[in-house]
Amino acid sequence: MNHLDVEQVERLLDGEIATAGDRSARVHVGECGDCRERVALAERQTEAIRNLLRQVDHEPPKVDARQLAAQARVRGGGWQKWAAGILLVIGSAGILYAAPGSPLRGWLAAAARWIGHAEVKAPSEESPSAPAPRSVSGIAVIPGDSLVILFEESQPEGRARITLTPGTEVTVRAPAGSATFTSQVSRLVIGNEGAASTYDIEIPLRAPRVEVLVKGERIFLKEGLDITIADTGVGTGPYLLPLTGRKP
Amino acid sequence: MHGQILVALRAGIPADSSRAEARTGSRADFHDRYVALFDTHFTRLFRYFDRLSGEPDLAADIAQEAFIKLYERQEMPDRPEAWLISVAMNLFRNTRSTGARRRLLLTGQRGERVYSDPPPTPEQSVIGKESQARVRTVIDGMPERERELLLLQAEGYSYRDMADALDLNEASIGTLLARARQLFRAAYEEEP
Repeated sequence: MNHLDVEQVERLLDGEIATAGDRSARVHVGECGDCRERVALAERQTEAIRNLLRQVDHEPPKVDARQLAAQARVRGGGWQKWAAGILLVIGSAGILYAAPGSPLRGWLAAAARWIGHAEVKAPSEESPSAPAPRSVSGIAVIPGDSLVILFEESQPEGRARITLTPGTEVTVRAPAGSATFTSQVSRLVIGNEGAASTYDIEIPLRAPRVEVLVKGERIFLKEGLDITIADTGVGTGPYLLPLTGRKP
Repeated sequence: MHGQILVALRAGIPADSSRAEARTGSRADFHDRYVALFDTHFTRLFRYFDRLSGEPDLAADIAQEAFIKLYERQEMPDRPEAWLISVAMNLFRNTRSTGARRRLLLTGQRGERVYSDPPPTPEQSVIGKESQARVRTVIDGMPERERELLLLQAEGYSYRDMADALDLNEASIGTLLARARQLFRAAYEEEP
């Protein structure tokens, strides 16, 4: 057999023996000192480069598969994104429709009259407190060793209703369209500018540490089994806390 | 604003349904395989992009995003490692070509450098920094294809995976690797 070509040397080195030709190359190396030396040299060079490459390494991030799986679930697949979008639109439309003084009801009634259908009475004329559809948005995350739930703004209205559960995920729910939710490392940020909603927050009993902050000020802390709270509206659990950012 | 997520909470899983149970079993199987793949492959993927880009935060983003995309599939590809590296390469190229702002995902606290041995003395640190800079310069100066191949080889990827990830002919991977090695060595020896 002829001496090994470059491709064969590399394949021998990397254990990429796939073809009969490669297998005969292995036999050849056993018999040919020159080719054996070429493979050994390539091996030494490869190892030397690997050692050099290690010099530029950084420590990998401290994440685990559960965190990424939770992130994927939160982000959702294609249909989930569509469903969330539709819920958001329906919820927003409902809120607009039911909002005091909303012109939407009048516009709809006028549009109905114009196209000749039976007159649609604006709910505000008979039932000024018609409820908005109960669409809910929210987020679920694995709390890990420590999780901070941060409300970006304080709210004069609305509360955080916190319940401890036997589950494994922290969930936050609010009426659709009233807030945005961002999951970051060890942090869940609720964009609540201008909102007046009450948020249902479920925290696993087993979560080691979960803290709720309002604009940087702590209103709730669960550390192991110890609970520190700013205010209790309704006794022990669920904790009904104002979102005005008072320190405990 | 980037990174905003607005989702509907998940509905419950229907009970008393063999199809639902099969799906649940399948999901559990997928989850187990996903965790196993993460344990064996995440660091490798991160290290490859860390070396390739010299940007650990970017590498962390890309490795995490690739694993998130895999979880979103809810189905394991035939060759998961090849799938991951291909998806991650596309993410990396998109980031580079569009200059898109990176979105930090779950990048946790990270030390400056990994030391498996005792921390270096100040003198060793100076020498170490010079050597690191030299290696970085050599990596950055290599042609893109050879650089990517060399770094994939260093992480132990198969020739088939390398060919798929870089859209190359598998039959010539060895020859290209030999060339990449020679380029690296020549550049390293030339560096002051």
